[in-house]
Amino acid sequence: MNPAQAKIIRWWAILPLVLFALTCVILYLNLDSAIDPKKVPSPFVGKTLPRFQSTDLISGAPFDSDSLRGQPYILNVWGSWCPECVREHSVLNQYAARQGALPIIGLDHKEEDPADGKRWLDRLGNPYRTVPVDPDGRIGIDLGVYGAPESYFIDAQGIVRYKHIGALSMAIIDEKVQELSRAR
Amino acid sequence: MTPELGQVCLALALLLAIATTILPLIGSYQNNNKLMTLARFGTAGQFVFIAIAFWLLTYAFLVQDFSVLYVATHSNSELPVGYRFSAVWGSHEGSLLLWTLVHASWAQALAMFSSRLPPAFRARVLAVMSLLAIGFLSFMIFTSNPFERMVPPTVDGNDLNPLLQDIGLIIHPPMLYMGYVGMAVPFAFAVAALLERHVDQQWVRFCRPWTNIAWAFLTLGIALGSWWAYYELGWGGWWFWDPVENASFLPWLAGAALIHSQAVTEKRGTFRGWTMLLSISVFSLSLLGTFLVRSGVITSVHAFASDPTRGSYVLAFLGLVTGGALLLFALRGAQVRVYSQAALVSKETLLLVNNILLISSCILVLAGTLFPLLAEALNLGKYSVGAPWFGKMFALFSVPLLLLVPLGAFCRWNEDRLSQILTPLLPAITAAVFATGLAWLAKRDMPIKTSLGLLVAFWVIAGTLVFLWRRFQRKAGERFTLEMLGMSAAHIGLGLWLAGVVLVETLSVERDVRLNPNESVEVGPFVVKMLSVAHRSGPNFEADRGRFEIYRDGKLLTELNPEKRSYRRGQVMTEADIRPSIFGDVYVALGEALDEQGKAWAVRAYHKPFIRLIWLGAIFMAIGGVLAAAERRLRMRVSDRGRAAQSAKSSAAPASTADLPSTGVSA
Repeated sequence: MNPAQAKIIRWWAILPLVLFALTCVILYLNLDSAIDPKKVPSPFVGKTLPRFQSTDLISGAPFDSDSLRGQPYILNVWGSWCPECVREHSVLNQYAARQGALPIIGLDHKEEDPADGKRWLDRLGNPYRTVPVDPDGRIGIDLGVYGAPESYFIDAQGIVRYKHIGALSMAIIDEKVQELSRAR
Repeated sequence: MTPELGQVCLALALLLAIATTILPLIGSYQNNNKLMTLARFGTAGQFVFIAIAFWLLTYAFLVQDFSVLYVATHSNSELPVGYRFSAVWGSHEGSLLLWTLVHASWAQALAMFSSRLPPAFRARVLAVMSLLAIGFLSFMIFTSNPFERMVPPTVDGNDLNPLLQDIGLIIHPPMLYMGYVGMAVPFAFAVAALLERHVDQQWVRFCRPWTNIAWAFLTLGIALGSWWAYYELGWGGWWFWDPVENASFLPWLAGAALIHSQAVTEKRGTFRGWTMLLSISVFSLSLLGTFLVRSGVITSVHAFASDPTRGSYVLAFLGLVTGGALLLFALRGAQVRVYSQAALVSKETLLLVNNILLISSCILVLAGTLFPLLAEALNLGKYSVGAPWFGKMFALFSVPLLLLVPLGAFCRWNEDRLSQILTPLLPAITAAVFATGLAWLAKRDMPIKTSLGLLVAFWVIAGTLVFLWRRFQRKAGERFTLEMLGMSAAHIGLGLWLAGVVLVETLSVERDVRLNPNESVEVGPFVVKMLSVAHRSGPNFEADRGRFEIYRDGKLLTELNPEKRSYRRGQVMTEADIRPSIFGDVYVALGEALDEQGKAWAVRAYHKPFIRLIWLGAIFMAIGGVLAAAERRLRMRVSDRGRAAQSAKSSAAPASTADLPSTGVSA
């Protein structure tokens, strides 16, 4: 084969590259433009979080979500039965230990035996300001919880600014907390 | 200390992989033997370090080192020892380590069994394998470290997902990865061939057994996944057209096309550019599958915990690897073009049609899988493409493909006459019609599509058997090779698979009923009678265990014990119980308790006629792949002299089809 012939580039040889590049663009757009299937739109984003009442897992004191008005906070849904929550928990512990961190409220979702939840927090540490319990999952239904872990970022007016399904990472917390303070 | 040691091993393997990519490549261009030999040692070194890392993670599971985050989240002190091994690949990080280990094993096998290749080519192939290893290793080290510590450590871990506490899941991923990653071998060969000064097709002969074996593993892996889904998910289905299943089916289809096109290129010297393109595509489809599973762009029962960083990483890697290979192909691929002079009726044409149909179905499945993503990207909303669409469209391409199978085996290379192909097949046609008639007599209420499907299946099997029989007699100097035996086994497997699919899809009986103790339900020819549902405790779960008696014609056959399990960590699992038989399974699964005392239950009772044929067919296909790989001719030396002669020849007559040493041409 002579060199001149070797240099010829033919359209059919380029076609696969072009098709592949197009596929990559589609995949990239999906990755990039927040089409994470986990970001299911929540009916409460931009609206007030429904009020709920419960008791605290540790002290047994009554809890009312309205008492949190006036300050932004994070509502984190967890349960000792949930494997992803363990992974997420070390992030929450780290965040809670920071200076100026927003308070985290930990809704103990569908816990069959409160002792399990207490033991779990003893073992892994407790980053929560209060831990309202939701043993039968009724509060979860009101809030539109899909499963644990799940987190709501709520501003001082009690309006849900962002909802995250799945484990939080430090990057997500930082980003969303910043958005909360900007919204104020 | 051990987790840190594992991390060190991975880092060392990464450094070695970088060195093994760069140095042998330089050596291959400077004709420096020392640098080229380095490829083998570098490959061995990577294998050793990755194997140590893998053992250290396994060890962390065995001794229950809950200070390792991955162990703490996927194991538990109550987890039985056997499952601690499989827990290693129970989630993203560990399965990536398994993937990397499998890749290193393929590379190591290639380094050991490639002494027949010219040294420069060998060095290039191993360098490409190392380049791929860099991708996997850095993906693991930078985004998904399996050895991450948990601060503070926990005394007891969470449990392994109970879906994964099962024998099927112990062997399914390693098999599947052997197949996925094995497709890196033809990829490495194609890229190495494109890096040669004279791009030729000598590599194809050496590559064929590797492709076949990788494809055989992929077949088994997919079949195991299907079998597992059947008995473990409790729905009694064997294939769901789930995006992740599709992700494994894509390289399988393209791999089947590759096996056939490699045969043409090796024996006739044509299809060269196409074979090269397919070799690149099959592995790229494996990578695409990984991207879909691990990036979270697609929702699926199989999807791993998703993370956009990981997604961007896999996408960048896919772009570099496939984009780079396709760019090379665009620049140099034109060199390999050869004009075929085969007649219209010839084996070449039939195999071309085979490839067109296989690739069309592959593109179809790809399109169905990616369409929801495209719709999202264009803001058309959320779509999902369902099983009925896939099933119909897939049949459209696979029926003509299957009809051609026996013809392809009989047809001669270069030129043949239709009458010469069809005459020896007349007994097969008769046998297929006769067998379908018998099936109809056995079950007269059979829908017409069942009969048609069976006719195609019998035709494939009978046609292949006739071919085997005639070749076995060795009339008129015809040879009978292992390759032919392998091909026939795979084609018979295809026929068995089709028969299974047709019968299960059209004749299954599925009953969802409410049963009280001592009530019974009829499914097909069987009667399922519920005796009771009682409580029992397992090692890490509590269960309601049903006792069901299975009767046929009033005769007690067996007792089945499906369970509804609640694992300590909250997941609920349906464990179906099955009475397997080649003629059809009886499948019983417990739904929910329907009254307060737990006496009445929702019960799913299914009759799945001949469902075992689906997996039996897959086993035949895998055996076929391995048999064909054992063909002696494919192990012959690719000599430098032969290559020199070859390139001289092809520059003299680039348009000839007969420019291949004719050792392998079988009529």
